[in-house]
Amino acid sequence: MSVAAAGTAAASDVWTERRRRVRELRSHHGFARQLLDFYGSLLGVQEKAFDDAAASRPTAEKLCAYVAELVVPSVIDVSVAAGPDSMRHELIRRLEGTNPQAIVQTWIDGEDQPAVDRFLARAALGPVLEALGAEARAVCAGPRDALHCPHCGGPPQLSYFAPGPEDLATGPRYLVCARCGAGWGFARMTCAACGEDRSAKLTIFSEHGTTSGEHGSVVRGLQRVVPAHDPGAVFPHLRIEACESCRGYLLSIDLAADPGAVAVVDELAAIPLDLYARERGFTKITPNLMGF
Amino acid sequence: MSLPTVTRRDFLKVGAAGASALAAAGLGFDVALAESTKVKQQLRIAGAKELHSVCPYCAVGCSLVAYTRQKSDGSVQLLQIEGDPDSPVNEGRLCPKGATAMQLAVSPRRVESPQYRAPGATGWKSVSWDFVLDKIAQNVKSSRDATFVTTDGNGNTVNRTEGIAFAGGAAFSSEEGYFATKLMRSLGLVHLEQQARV
Repeated sequence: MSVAAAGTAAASDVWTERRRRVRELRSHHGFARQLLDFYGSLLGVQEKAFDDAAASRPTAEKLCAYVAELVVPSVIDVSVAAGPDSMRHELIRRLEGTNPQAIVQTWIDGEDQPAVDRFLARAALGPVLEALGAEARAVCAGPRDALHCPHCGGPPQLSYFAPGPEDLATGPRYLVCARCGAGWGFARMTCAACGEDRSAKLTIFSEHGTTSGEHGSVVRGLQRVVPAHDPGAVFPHLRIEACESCRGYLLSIDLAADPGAVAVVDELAAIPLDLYARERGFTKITPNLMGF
Repeated sequence: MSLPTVTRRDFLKVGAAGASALAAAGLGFDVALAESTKVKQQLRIAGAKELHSVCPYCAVGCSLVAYTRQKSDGSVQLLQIEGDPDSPVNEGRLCPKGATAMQLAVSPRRVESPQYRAPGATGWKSVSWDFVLDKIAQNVKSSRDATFVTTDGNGNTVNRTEGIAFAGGAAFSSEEGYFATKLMRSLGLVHLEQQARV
């Protein structure tokens, strides 16, 4: 399943859905406006990279060179034009002494790299891998086990709960790859970083008022009745899945609670939850595209 | 699910990535970071646990996920129950009764004392457990005495009670079901029905 399914969109609508969600969250989440405005600009470049790659279909051997030569320049242009000042300065400084192909290759190889390099490589390679599918993803380094993407071996960026197949049914959980955006099924009550599955070691941090019991309902999924005096949750469909064993965490998006959510976009905008988890000593399995 | 392979190298990489995340402001989203810090301080967040359980209502044995939170006084509050999507038994589904399983533990409408409607009365009234146990014993005795059959039409000794039937609930454990059956048979009941669990 591709991450497209996370937003109930067909592959061709993925970019339209992401732009729609950026507009929605931008109006709700003023705190993330700086980041969402930039991401909205980047989406235009990524969609073009997706379309071009789908049309020209570079071979897996030429993947890195293709991305470095044809996509990275556009990402740099939009980042310099619409990104924050320090990103602009850091990009210019890094590119003076570093080959873009090496930056992309380091991300393909799964090695650690400076935050700005990782941003550049992710932003450029991601849409190309989404467009090309299995053959291109296969060249990426990384283990192919339950804790990594079965297609490219990348680490999980986030998880989401798909809507249930019918009323009174809970949908399955999926992890979404930080590198190629593919999704894979994963056990609900298991740490996506280390595989810990003892409930006592797994803590879920969510806002008050996000469960059915807090609204006087015994059935999950019934219409929420929020008392007039309750300001409501900022992130009613998001939660932090933290593990006491490895001190890792990621964010989960419940698409049954908000069918309009687009997992990759909602995760980017949930900076306050990242700050909360970090404050409690948890480390995100993988920082997202914007470094949070 | 294949076994995870977390090597020391992977572990160090995760740590390094975390260190990079701490420097997230390095990408320059200073305004978003400052604004989000204010929002974070307003959030009312609490830790919760998800626990596996099994629906108590019928012999299918659907898996449940119970969402609980520890309150400040140390007691555990049950907040939500839903079907377990990873269970091969129900794949996240629940029947309408199972979906309301939380009512078994938490319901403001739960009846907390025995209810008694006297012969000829038009309404129920709350009574004590002592009263109702005595009443049941008296009614069992009188019904049993009135309908006890010692021999059938062919002269066979049967010693059975035909005036009382017993229905065991699905929330019974196997042991409770066994005990109830034993008790009812000792009274001579032959009309028994159970939905005891596996």
